[in-house]
Amino acid sequence: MKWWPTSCSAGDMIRVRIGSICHYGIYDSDDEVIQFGPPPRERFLPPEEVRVCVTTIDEFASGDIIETAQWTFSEKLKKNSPRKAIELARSRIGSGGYNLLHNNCEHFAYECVLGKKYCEQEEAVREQWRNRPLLNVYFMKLPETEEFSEVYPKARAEELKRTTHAQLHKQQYWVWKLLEEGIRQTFGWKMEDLSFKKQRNGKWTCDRLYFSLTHSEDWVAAAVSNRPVGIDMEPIGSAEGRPWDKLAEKILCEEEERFSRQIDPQQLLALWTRKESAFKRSDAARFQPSKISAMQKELVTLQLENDYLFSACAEKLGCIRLYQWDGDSVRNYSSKEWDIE
Amino acid sequence: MLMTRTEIIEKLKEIIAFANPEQADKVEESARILQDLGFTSVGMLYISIAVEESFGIRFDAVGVSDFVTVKDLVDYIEGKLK
Repeated sequence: MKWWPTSCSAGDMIRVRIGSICHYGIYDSDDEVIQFGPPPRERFLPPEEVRVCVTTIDEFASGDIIETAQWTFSEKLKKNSPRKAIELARSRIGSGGYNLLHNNCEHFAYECVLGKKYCEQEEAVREQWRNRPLLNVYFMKLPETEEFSEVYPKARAEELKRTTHAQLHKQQYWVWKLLEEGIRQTFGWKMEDLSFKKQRNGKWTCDRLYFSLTHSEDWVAAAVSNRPVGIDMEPIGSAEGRPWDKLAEKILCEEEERFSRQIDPQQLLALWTRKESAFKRSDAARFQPSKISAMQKELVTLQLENDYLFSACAEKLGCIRLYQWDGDSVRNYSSKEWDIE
Repeated sequence: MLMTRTEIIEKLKEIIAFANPEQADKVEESARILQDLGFTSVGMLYISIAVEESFGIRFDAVGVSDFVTVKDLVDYIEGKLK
């Protein structure tokens, strides 16, 4: 169905644009347009005062352009006849029950013409909200307990059983549990309702969302998003004692050459986390740090309150939110941006 | 889903930040949604839908001018969640 500024016939669904919204009605004649409430030009009436009423086409339009619904052939087969649409509209004259979200003028017009309530404006906003960029990162300090419950899916549980190194097993177990909590908090979904798959490059993926995991010493982190994401973290203290002068020539790319002239261990550690997170966001099979730019725009590095350097690579970093989970509850987790320059 | 008033306000801040990032820092209970936070009627529609989706509630007979301040909206959400 399309909207067209053309002449109206009895039974047509018509609308007029008022700013960023549209007001809808059912046309019977130039003297009678049936609408659910007057066009909100000056102000919105309180909902209890809004009634289905009749107005003239001139009042309905008030100088704005009238658009008429143009139906496709298949839509015409499903819609009510013009006479029935007008009958339905007239039968509602005087009735109220206005609700901006669930029973507005557009719902009324569609109900008269198609027999069911529908609001394109509402659907468009809902769709925009559901598709808004989401990027939540959850952190957890490994608990003391050595008790481990089952994890989903089975393939992940079996992978965990094959991990014999105690610390690594603990990290892998809790980062998966953190992922489970992160998915529940962010999307309201259960792991059992999702499908997980391990790719050939060893990366786990999910059918309904994107995620990235990282663990280091006694902290784990899980990022959940509706867009591709990669994260990595390292304790700031681990920057010291590494042969950065030798590592620099191996990991830095051309545009990062300035970092090799004066070795700053913490800065190089930050670059390392940025490259790792960029790799994890991609589908690349091999991690080749010298071929990944740590200066790209879709990267951010933060210093966390636990003195870790944390990097995230994602499209809309402005929506990133950090939380800490202690196994029971979630709280906001603070950080400050790390100046990579 | 029971939430504290503080949790409701935090979630509302996230919603308002999505709708109008520049206003996110101005969100406090006394702030007027239209006059202080600068939301238009479509902005109110967006917030209302986002609140429904985020809190799992349904607005009853709601009009644009029903919620003057952030406090009005928080009170409504709190009442619905109980």
